[in-house]
Amino acid sequence: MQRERGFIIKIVGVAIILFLLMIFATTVGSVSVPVEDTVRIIASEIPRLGALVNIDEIRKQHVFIVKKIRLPRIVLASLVGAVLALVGTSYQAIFKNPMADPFIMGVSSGAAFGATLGIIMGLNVGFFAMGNTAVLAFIGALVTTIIVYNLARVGNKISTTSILLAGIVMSSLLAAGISLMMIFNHDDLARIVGWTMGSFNAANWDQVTLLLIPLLIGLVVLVALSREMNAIVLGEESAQNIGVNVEIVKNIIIVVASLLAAIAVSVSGIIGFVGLMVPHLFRLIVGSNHKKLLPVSLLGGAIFLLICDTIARSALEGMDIPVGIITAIVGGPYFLYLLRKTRKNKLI
Amino acid sequence: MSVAIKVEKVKFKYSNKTVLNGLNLDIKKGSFLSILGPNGSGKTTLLKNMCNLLKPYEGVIHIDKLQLRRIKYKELAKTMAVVHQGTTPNFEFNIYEIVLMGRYPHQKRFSFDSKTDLDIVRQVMIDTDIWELREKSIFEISGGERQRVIIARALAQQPEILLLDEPIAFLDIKHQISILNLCKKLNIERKITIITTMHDINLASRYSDYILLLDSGKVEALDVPEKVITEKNIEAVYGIKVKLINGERKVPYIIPE
Repeated sequence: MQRERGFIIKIVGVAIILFLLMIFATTVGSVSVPVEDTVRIIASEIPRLGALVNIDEIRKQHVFIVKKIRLPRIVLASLVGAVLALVGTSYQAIFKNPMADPFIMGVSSGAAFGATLGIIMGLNVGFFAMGNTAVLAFIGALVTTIIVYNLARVGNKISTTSILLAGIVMSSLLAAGISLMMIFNHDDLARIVGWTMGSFNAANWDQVTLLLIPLLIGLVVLVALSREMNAIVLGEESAQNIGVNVEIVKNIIIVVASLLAAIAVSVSGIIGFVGLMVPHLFRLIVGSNHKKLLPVSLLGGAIFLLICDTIARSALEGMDIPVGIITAIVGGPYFLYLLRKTRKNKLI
Repeated sequence: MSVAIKVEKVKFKYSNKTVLNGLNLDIKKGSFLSILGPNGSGKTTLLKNMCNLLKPYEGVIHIDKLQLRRIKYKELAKTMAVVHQGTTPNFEFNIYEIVLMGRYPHQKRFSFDSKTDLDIVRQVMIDTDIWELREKSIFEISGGERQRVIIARALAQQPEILLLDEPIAFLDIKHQISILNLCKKLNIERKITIITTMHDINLASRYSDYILLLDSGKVEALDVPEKVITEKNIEAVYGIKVKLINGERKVPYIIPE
């Protein structure tokens, strides 16, 4: 009990860090808005408190930048980071493989294929907050996942090796399709490549709403299954013997996690490393107990992607670097360092 | 005496290879049964059929008069716990977390670990002599200690039946004896039915109430050790000649000739 209370305090601490980072990130950008003004603009949006804050003296342009451009982007980046880390942690658990990531079932290549189709054909299938590209990316991600899932399933059992292999083969097939479309559509090349590298430069509040509800539902479902995940990573047979219905649990997690990954990819493009590295990093810190690991990874993913996206939009004057590049540059070397450091005394 | 597990005409095969060939078996409540037999005789397969990990294509298994395949996983886990052959985990947990997982069948979703859960975990960790190790990582302890951790997790389920698959393989003689002593203690003090596969015939005769000798998926003999472990039976099943020494002990002891 004592230990659980200590852990809750740490979680709250990390959440506060995330919140402060979000406020700080709002002050960063090509137009400099003073910290005090930023805080006041944010506070004015909070119910009850908002009435006490006067933002009339702050320049309209600054209010617009903070409210309509920076905040939605910051919140969206944090949400996508949280989703990717949550999905990565869950996949690593049910595949019992610390190298699994959110794209293991072909979500990324499916989404890229859909997005590419959307870009070259200029279809008009926009829905709610999602533009054409996002809708087609979502459909592509979902269809690919369903195909991979069914290829790997025998009866109601899912073989991890088959999932990995089916995922790889589907990805290669789709990559070939994407290349083919790119060859015939030179004009759209830059947009396609740009999309696949991931970016939040078109973020808006509707996208945030779109992602927030599935994230909350997914979080509740996955955290509710944390005891089962703990049992499964120690072996499926022994998990069943302590009473876990392994196949049902795996199926639920795969469906929920794939949906979350598909939604995240469709609004942000392909952002690597978050879903692989964040769970891995926090497993080294808090251990593999998913009751702790899932919430910590979720917050950690949000923090990591928020930092990367802030760098992406402010590092170069007048240019938005695709955030996928930053996550790889920041995450890659650190991940390799961890690998070297931990390989000496542990298996992973 | 009542029956803990009843196996009736059970047949099992992996694709085309028949492993269990019409087994009949009554395992008495509160007994200590060792399953012996050469490699490939079906010991582990029988164990996995008895705990519902594998399903026989013919025949039925009853646990306490209930048909095994009709029992829900969680309900079964309250009656029966299984200690599998040691595998190295890929993920790091501390010992306490692992033993606590044994409380799973008794817990509700979204509930915190209750005081009862924690008390039981503490007690089984003391009983298995691993309370001192509770903060340690599963990667940091020895094979013998790891086996105790897995047994403690099984005990946290508060089972009436404990199945063990070669619990003393890969352990040195000291740890072999200590694990078997622990099983015997649980058997006598808590009346837990112990069913274990084993390779060591002499240790099996010393600790078991009954020995089941398997040969190519069939029951060769099932009785008290002194009736099962005979020169004739060993030669028939293992194909080697042995000499039997009884000495002052009642239980047989074999040495290869």
